[in-house]
Amino acid sequence: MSQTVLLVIVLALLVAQGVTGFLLWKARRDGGAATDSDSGVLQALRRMADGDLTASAESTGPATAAIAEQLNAALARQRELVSDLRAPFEGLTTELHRLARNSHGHSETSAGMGRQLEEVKSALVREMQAAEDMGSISKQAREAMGRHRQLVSRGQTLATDMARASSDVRESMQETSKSAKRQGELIQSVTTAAEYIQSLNTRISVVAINTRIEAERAGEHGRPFLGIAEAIGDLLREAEEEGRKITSEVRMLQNLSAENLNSLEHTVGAVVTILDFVERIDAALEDINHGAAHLLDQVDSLGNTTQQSAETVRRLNGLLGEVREQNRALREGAEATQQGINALQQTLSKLGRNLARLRVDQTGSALNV
Amino acid sequence: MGGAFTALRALHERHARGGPTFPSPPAGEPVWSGAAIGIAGVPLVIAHRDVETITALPPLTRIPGTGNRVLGVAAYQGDLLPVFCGDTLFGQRLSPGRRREYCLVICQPGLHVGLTLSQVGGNVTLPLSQRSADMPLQGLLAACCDGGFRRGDEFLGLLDSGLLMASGVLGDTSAQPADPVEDAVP
Repeated sequence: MSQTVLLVIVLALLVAQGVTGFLLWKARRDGGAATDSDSGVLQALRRMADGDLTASAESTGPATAAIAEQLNAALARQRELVSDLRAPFEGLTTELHRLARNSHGHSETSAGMGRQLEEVKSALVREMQAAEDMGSISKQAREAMGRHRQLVSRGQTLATDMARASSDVRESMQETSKSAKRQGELIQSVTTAAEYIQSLNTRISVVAINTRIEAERAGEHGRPFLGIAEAIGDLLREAEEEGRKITSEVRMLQNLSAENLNSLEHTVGAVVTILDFVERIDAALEDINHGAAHLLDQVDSLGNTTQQSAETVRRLNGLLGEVREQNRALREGAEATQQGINALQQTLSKLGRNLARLRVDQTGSALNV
Repeated sequence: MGGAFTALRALHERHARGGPTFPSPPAGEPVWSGAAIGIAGVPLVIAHRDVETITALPPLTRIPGTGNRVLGVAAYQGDLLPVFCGDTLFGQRLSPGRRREYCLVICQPGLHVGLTLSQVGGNVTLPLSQRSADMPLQGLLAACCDGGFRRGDEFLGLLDSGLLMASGVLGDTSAQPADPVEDAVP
């Protein structure tokens, strides 16, 4: 807007100079050679043509007095106009300088923004790669979790089989324990029988002794009883020997049976302990399975989140491309603006130099630009 | 009686033909024969001539006022037989474990008693070379044994019914001490 006003003013000044020149040309043509009274007007016109607006036309002639008066009035209006032109021109220059600085700053900002956008793009590319890596890791973790759950399931199956086998072993041990107790009862029965045989041996011993006593008491007639007593004694010794063997072996059998029974009881206790351990292992595997399922859910959630993040990064990358395009357009616009401002500054500088040729006071030029 | 002798003779003839022969000791080695018994857990031997019989312990009837070494009196072959507890009499203790099943009947002039046994070992024949006059036994058994036999590490005391009768222990059956407890009459 201010540029338009300035151009209008400049055009007005040029038109005024043209009018003044025309009037001067007309006066010379109408009057022929200039007189002394016209010299003041001519001198003023010459100074005015040189740009000195401080000139003053003086004429005593009747024909030129009005021209001098009109000329002086025109010069005064021109001086006033030029003086009034100073402040807007200086403001326009200042604004143009400020606009140039701002445009330069915008261009620098746009360039910096472009660099930052490049860095953001690199970061987004890395982020996308990281998201893809995370997705791959999540997939691998999911597969590992699946294998882990299969292993835990196999462990649970084994624990169940082991518990069943231990239970079978326990029942078998209990049956064996019952059999061993029955065996102990049989051994006790055999022991009782052996003791009864021992008692019979004692009774036979008594019979042998009494036979021997009676035989000796019968004297010569009792000699056959001596043989009988001796034979009974021999049989008795054999019976006692066998009885001792039987008793000894039965006692060994009793000890072995007791040891076996004790061992069976220990084994049953160990099997019960194993069952307890198996139950604990089963519970631990169940906990591990629950934990693995929860972890698998977490991995799935992480995979989904990673996928969403990758998608978001892709969208951000697309938006970033658009922003880069816009920034590039802005930078080009800023550069065009800068060029326009430079051209305008050159125009203003040229205009300033032209205006500086106009003197409006005795001290110097009209505009110091 | 004739029938009995006839039966014995027939038995003698039958055993003389096919029965076991009468054992004869090795020539030149004198032996001693008797019965192996045990009283109060102590292994002993006794000559057959000192024993009337060994019998199962018959039902006993306690005799009031007698000491615990007297188990009671039993009806034995038409007579009364006092039965002494061998464990209490010789071991100075009650019989451990189960009730004794057999008793030794000793019949000597003026003595007809039964004595419970802790063991009946049967007839035994021992070489006289194992006869020993040492007496490792203690107490009443040492007084009633006439030496014994050494069979390996085992000592078999030879119970003598004469020494047993002479000890007088079977004649005191009272539960009260032998000495009078009443105050002397002034």
